[in-house]
Amino acid sequence: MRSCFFLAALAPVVVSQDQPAQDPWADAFTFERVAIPPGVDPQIGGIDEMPSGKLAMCFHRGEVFTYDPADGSWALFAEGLHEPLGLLVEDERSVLVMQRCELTRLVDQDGDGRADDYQSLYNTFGMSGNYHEFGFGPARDGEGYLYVALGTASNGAGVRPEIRGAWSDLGVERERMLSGKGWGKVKVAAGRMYSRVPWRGWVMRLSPDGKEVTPFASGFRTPDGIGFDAEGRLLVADNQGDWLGTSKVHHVREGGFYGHPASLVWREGWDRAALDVPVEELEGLRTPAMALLPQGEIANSPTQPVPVPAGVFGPLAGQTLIGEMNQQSLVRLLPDCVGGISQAAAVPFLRSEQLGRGNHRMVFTEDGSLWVAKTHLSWAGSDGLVRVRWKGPEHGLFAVANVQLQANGFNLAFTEPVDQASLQKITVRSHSYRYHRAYGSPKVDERQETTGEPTPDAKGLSVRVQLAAPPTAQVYTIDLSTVRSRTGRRVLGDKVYYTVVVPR
Amino acid sequence: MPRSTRLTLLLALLLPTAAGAQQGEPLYQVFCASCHMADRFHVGPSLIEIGKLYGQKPDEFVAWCHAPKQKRKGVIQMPSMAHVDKPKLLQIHGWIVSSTKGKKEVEVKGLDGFRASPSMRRRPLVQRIFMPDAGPAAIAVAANDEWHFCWDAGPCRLRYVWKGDFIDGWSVWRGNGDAYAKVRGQVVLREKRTPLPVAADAKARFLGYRMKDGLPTFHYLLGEVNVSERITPLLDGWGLKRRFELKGAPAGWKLTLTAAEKMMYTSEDGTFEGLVFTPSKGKERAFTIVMEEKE
Repeated sequence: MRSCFFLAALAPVVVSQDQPAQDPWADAFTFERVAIPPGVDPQIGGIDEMPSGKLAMCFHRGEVFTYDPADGSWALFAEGLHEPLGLLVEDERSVLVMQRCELTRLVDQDGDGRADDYQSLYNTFGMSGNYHEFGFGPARDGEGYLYVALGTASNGAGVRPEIRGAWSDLGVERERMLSGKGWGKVKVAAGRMYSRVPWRGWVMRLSPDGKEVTPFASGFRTPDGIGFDAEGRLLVADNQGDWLGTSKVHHVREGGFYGHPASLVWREGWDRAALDVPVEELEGLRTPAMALLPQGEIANSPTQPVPVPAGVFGPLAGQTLIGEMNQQSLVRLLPDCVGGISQAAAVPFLRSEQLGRGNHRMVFTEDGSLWVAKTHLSWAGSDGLVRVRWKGPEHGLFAVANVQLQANGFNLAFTEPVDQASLQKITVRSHSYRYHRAYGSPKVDERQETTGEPTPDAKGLSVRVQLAAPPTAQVYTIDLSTVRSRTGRRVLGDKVYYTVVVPR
Repeated sequence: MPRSTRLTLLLALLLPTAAGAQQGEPLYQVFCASCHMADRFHVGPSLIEIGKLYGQKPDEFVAWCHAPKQKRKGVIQMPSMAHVDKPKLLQIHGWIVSSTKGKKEVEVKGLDGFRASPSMRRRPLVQRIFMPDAGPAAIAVAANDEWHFCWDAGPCRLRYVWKGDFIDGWSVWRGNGDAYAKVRGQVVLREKRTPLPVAADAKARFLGYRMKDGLPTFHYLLGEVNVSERITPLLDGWGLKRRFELKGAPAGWKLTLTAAEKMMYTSEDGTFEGLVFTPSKGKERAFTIVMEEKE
């Protein structure tokens, strides 16, 4: 380590301090690509662990395979599913899969390793035939309730002549909504993303026996990520687009509305087209996101939230990782709670070419592996399966452990003592996004914050960053790229994006 | 124009581009690289193609990035880069121009690399996919090498039967699903409604299917009636047979089948009067109808 420092000092012109000579993530983690069975389209929609330690995965063209990490063998469990984008193991013989068209329970009744029973557990939500109406989930809470998220339709196409479920008349007439020649003239009026069949843009809850369905929360666009964190919070990630200035993570509660108006047409008693609702009214209805993920910087298209179990990634146990499609990175979420409101800092995690893009679904297994399953569906992304393991304490994991909002700044806890001299160049910028119909938002109200000299506590594990102006409801980008541990390590994930929902 | 002036002008033109280009590369990596590759079509066009289109038009490049439109068929629309400001986009533009100079586009052929996959070619085979002339929750089934059918899990009924090869799902699978699978054969039968005599407004509820010998037995509720329906190939290769088992059906049910020019119906479990089928005594709740090709 010390010798690296000397080299950098001797050759300042060639290597700037901001540019790592090598991949610091690869120093602390191993990345291993797992071969997918030949002939199988290797885009993976969902992954989970079975009690035996095997992994169950669903693929783009509808296969479900099990994979045994012990001997590297694959076995076909089920097939023929329609774009499955989520998988949850119930036991060795029973797997739940969310397809485009339904939540299905696959059961191997005769114990031969192949599912023979394809039980349709939930299929009463609508399908307009629009390609963007994906089904996400399921996530299961502590009492066995299941949660699925239903994506909205995209005006990249219209709807098809035959639909499943009811049709909402709130919006452009149905005949004009049909895909085909005239669509180009209709698409703007249709809304960039729209919900004209039931529960599109909603999170739905199923009772443990599957018989009772409750519309749980609304206001989602493409919620390709639904899961519970270690504290039992239901987290849903949503993608940048119309009404989402940037991608987001929501802490979802029953009855909440989370900002994309298309889904409102399915509220009881609602009588207006989504695009007729004034922004001010929507602003009053919506619950702000727990975390905003600045577009292009930390995420473009976030996916599944997964809690880090104890004993796996050392000091990160109990935190939440979120997948990301477009970047060679995951997102690590550090929750904070102010006045009973969840807000969080987001930090890049495993930002490495070895991880790659397309990080769609993840699962931790007991041996300490994080399995990252990939897809793209013709968008940015990748395919296949990557196994990630931490090399262990001797290789370090110098990172921000948590961030707490203070009245006049932030307290950052680190996993290892910091070198005080390296704290001086910490910078903080703040910005926010517009809430509007347009696709995405530029950063607005961008500001360089004036900071006092960051001060560590006696042990060097906590650093106070004070701002001249008290934090307000904005995103604060805290740049830690110059910070080093006392042993000279760089911070793994050196930009912290803290979303202030409620100032302290 | 004297040579030296020309050279100065040229340098003046080149220098800002070169400087911008250097900063443009990391920006390209952050904002563009996940969809645009240097030398071949990926999610969007290559840098070479973008360079050809916009090399001399930096302002139009910026305008397009901030408000992209749907230009090509079968390709997704680029999302707006509203979060990337003009100076950054111009740096990216500079990088595109300088890095693609003299490079040649690599042709990418749109062939299905998994067409011969065992999980696609095996018979029989069940595949849920967007099917033409059916609802969005349709199921395609290859009963054997020659006979195939589309069963719709929305209204819970057989939609059509075809003969020939099974389906080509590439148009759906190659992208995000904005297409129908192709039926690779000749449709010989289309049903307009369920043959079961339920009221037109009877609610259909799909319960799932059970696999046996590679083929599904569909389970569903039509109104109060619990139906299981299994379609299997005839051993002689001349068509399909269709077995119904009913729970909660009233006595005296008669089925009305759909006329098909090339197919005929027979059954050992009842009698036909034209297209109306009456199950024999003792067979009212479990019967098989043969759908056979006319000679």
